[in-house]
Amino acid sequence: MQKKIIEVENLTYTYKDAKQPALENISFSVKENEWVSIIGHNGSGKSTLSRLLNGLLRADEEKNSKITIDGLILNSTNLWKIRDMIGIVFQNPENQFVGTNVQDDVAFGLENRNISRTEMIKRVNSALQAVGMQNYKNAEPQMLSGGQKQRVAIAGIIAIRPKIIILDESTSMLDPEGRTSILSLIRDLQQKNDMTVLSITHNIQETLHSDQILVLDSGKKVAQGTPQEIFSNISMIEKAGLGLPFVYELKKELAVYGIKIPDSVSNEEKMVEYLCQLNSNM
Amino acid sequence: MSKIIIGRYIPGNSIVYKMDPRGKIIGAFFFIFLIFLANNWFTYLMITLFTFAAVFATRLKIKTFWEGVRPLIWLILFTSVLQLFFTTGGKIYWHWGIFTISHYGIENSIYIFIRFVMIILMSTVLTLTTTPLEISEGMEWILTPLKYLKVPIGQIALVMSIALRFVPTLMDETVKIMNAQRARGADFNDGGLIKRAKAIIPILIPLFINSLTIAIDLAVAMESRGYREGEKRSRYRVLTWSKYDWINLAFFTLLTALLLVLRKH
Repeated sequence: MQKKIIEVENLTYTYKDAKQPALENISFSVKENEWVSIIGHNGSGKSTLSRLLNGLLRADEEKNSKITIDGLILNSTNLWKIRDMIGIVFQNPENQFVGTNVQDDVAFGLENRNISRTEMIKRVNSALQAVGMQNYKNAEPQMLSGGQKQRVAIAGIIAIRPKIIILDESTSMLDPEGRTSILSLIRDLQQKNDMTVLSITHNIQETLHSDQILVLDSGKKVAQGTPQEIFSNISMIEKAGLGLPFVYELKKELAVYGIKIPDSVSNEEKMVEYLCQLNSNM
Repeated sequence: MSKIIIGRYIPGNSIVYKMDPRGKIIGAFFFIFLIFLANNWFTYLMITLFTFAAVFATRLKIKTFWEGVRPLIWLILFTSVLQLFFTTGGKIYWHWGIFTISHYGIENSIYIFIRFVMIILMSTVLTLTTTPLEISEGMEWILTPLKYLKVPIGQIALVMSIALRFVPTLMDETVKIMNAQRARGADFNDGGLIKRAKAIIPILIPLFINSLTIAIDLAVAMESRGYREGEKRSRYRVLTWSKYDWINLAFFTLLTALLLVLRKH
């Protein structure tokens, strides 16, 4: 039985001057070392959720809404302890680059935690090694591509060794190649360091690899489950204004022609294998 | 815009580059005081030799330094000519109305010329061989005593380094906005003064909004990475005082001593 690392109860948040709450009565939990994708159409409250989790925003009625991170309840006294546990990689790689060059930027989070210089040098080097950017130590941000900047941002997060990484649409500004390489990088790191990953994304294809998917629609939680459970429920996905991943789209189309694909076929490799078998059986 | 050499950094790896920015900044300021110690031919020769030694030690092309002096050459010549015509004293060589060319006038105008050129050369040596970041770090160290007057040096230093980091980003942003406006028919290089000033508005407003967006994003990113205002932070970058800085210091001491001995009393 895995420990629950994130527990959210009755979370409601309303932006100033907004008529409707951006998030309404959200409750969910995430187990340690899980990869959870949060999906929803534009304006469904995904990013608001990530900012609430590390205390950048505060819930409406703190008495009723409760966020617990690794046993600690999010409140003013625990705020900084909780921020130490959560690292967020944001959408725009340009605007989260604080340092004047790569190693400065990676060290920024460490400087804030008042970590000694010898330890910082060690951690910065190993973090840059982990993201494959050790040759760019002295490069300035304008010399790097978007994907490289995003790698540096990830290095800055893993240098502080958080338990939870939140990807707030981190790959949305990258090309397909940059996107796959960043995602496989984070998957590697997650397995090596036992981290929990919360990935907020528009890219349905990305969610296929996650353990759990959380679907938001207009600030409300619509569903939570494994990718298989979520994408089998086609009407719910369509109601939430989302698309289906390619495999499930294909399943749907094939169903029209009377070919029933079993539920266990949940990714492209399995689909290819199944179709080949089907072909040889005919 | 790229023609202006003042304040620009050119990468290199000669001995001047290896010096500590603190030493270089203090040296460059001190040099301005030193130059006023000079008051005869001998001392001016010393100053000139010392400056040229510094210029050669950078191992940069002499042409680059000439580009540094060039934008100010009219100011220098104008001041020298004024000195030449309006200083009286000593032997008078030429006289016409209010204009006089005297012995003192010639001497003074040459002194002024040397002073100007040497100060510009020396500050160009500083800016050409020191990155803006190093300068801001050096300045931070120099300003540290102001902490006792409750000046928030740590925050000012952070502001400076963020400002420096965003200069290229905002430059790129400006070019992008200008191109986008051009694609919609804006014309930035035509018309009179007022028309041109008006043409800047479609650049300035988006640029202003973009910088605010960047500032908000950056603030959020900084805070979520654990930045707390006024909290004690450790430092990743450190300045190290090396043997080259002792050489630098030794040269300045030597020059000061020579000037004090050789100047006319």
